[in-house]
Amino acid sequence: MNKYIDELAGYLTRLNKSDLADTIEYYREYLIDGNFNNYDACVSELGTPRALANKILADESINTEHSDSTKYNEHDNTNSTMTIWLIIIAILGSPVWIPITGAVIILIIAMLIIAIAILLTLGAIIVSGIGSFFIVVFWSITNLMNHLIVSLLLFGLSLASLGISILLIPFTVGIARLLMKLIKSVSISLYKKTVRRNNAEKRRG
Amino acid sequence: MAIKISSDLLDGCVLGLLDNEDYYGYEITKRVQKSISVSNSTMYPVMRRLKKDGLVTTYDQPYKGRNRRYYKITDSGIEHLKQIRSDWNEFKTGINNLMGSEEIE
Repeated sequence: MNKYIDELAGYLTRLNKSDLADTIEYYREYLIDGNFNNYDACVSELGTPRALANKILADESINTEHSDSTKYNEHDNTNSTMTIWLIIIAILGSPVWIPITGAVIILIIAMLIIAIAILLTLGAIIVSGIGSFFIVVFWSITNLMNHLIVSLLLFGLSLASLGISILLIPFTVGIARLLMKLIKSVSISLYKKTVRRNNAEKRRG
Repeated sequence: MAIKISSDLLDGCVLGLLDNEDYYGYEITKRVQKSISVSNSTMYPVMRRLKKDGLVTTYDQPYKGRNRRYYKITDSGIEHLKQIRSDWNEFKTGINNLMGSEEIE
């Protein structure tokens, strides 16, 4: 039983200290009260430590998300990414492996890919805008004597392109935040509608 | 039971249990499982949420050289239970009216 609890604790290091202690204490007590002494008995009661940990982490981040969403709207983007991955992991670890959960994972991954594609496109525009600024400035300065008018015109245009690129940066960051939040909330509701419900009603023999 | 149980109803079930007597974690799971099908790992997040919302509190009691954590319903838990009960009764009556209950058939 101690081996089971130690492994579980090893998978839950992401939790803060008091949550971790609380969770471990609950399951330690649970296993003692149920007389689950050896490792295999623990696994057949609660599933593997990894699967149990994944479920705990997913439930935890959904609960936290639920109660804190009004307070931390601006700062939770790293959390967004984390929540999305935790949900995917929890779905993979759930005992109820039915076509719907597969479809849910594919849907979440598809949304992630679309989001990444949009961000990469915007990123490429910004990089090329800034890059072309330096190239054109170099050309216009070196050719200032030969083609004065053209050089001045290109110099002005490159400044404009630099300005637009820099303006695009906060815009891109904003879009990134929005997309991650959107995907997170969709993932959470999908998770609640499929895996969590199936777990809650799983028939016990 | 093939019908999905919502988390509100699960909250109501636990609060209803604790309204009679204080229980510890393992016993709550097993008592809930006597009446409805839930997995063994379902109750922990439920208990955490109830505690966080102030509907239950916990206290430790020594038992065979260790502590057992008991859950106890709070006053706001009792209020919440009344609300869930009346919501459930309304829901149950509505469904029975539409579907017909076994006794009527």
